[in-house]
Amino acid sequence: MRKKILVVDDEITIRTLLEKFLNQNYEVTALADGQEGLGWLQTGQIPDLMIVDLEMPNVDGYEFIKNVRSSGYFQNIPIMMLSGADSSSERVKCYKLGANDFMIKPFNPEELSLKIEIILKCKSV
Amino acid sequence: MSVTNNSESAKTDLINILYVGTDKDSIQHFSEDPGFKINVVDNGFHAIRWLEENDLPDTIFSEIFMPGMNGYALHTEILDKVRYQTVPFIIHGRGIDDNERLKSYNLGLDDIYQRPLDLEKIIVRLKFLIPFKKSQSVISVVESKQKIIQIPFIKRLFDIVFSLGVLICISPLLLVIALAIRIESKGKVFYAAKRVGAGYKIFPFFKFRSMYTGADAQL
Repeated sequence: MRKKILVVDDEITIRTLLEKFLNQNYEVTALADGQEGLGWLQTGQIPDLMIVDLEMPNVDGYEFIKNVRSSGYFQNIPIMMLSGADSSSERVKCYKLGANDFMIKPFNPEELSLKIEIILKCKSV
Repeated sequence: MSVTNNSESAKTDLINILYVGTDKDSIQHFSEDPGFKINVVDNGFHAIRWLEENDLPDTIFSEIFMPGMNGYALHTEILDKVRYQTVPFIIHGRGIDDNERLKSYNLGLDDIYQRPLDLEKIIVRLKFLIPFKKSQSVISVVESKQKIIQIPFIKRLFDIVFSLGVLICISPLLLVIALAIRIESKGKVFYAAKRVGAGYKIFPFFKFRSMYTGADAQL
C-alpha cells in the first residue's frame, strides 16, 4: 500500500509541484492552510507524514504543529516544515514544538524526497 | 471597574465540560484548572439524562472503561441525536495503545487521551475542536437534507406488480374481513398508521381496524 502524505501550503505552485513530484511514490493530499489541514485530519484520514509550510493564513505552521502534537491521534505523525526564510531561530522553535525536519524554499525536490524516505524508514522500524 | 469587567469576560471564556466517569484525579485536575467549568456524572446513563435536562456543554469528556455503558457505547448513543453532534466527544483512559487509538479514531471520536491528563494539550485541541465541530455539523445537516433517496425502477416495478397480484388473489378473503369489521363495530374498515418510508418520508400505512375508532387518541 502506498504511504499517505499530507501537504499543507498556501502557495499553489508549491502544492502542485509537490503533488506532481511525490505522486509517483505516495498518495498525496494537498491543502491550502492549517485550518483545512486540521479539519481534514479530523474527518477521517491519518497520513504517514505531513509537509507543512510555516507562513500560512488562518492557522499557521507553528499553530498547526502545536495542535497536532496535542492530539492523541496525531501526536506521532512525522512533520517536515517548509519555510521561505533561512532562520535558525525559526527552526529551533519548530523543533521545540515537535517538528521532525526542516526544508528551506526553494529546495531541490530530490533532497526532499530522500529526506521523506529516511523519515518513513525510521518510522516503520 | 475594569477589574470586574475582566473577570466577567473571563468567566464567559470558561470551557463548560461534561465529565463522565469516576476517576478522582482527573476530576480534580479539571476542577482546579481556571479554564474549565466541570459537571460530573458517574456513568453513561446519567450522562444521557444530564444532556436532556441541561444546556449543551462545550465538550463531553468520557472515561473509556465504565460499568454498564462504556465510553464508545455512550458516544454511539449520543451520535443518534443531531443536537449533540456539534459537541466534541473525547475519551480517555489508562494504558491506551495504538490499537485503541485507531479504533476510536475510526469510530469518529474527536480525540483520545492517556491518564494522567495534560490539560494544556487538551485546551489547545478544544480551541480548534469546539468551533470546528459546530461548523461541521451545519454542513452535514445541509447535506443530509439535500440527499434525495432514489428507489431503483426495477424494485418499484416489482413492488407494484407483485403486490397487485397478491391483492387480487386474496381479495375474496379481504372482502369477508371488511364485512366482518363493519358488522362487529362502528367506524371505518381501515386504519391508517403512520410509518417512516424511504428518505424518512412519513406515509399512511393502511391496516384493517381491530380497535375502536379513536383508541389511539384515548392513549
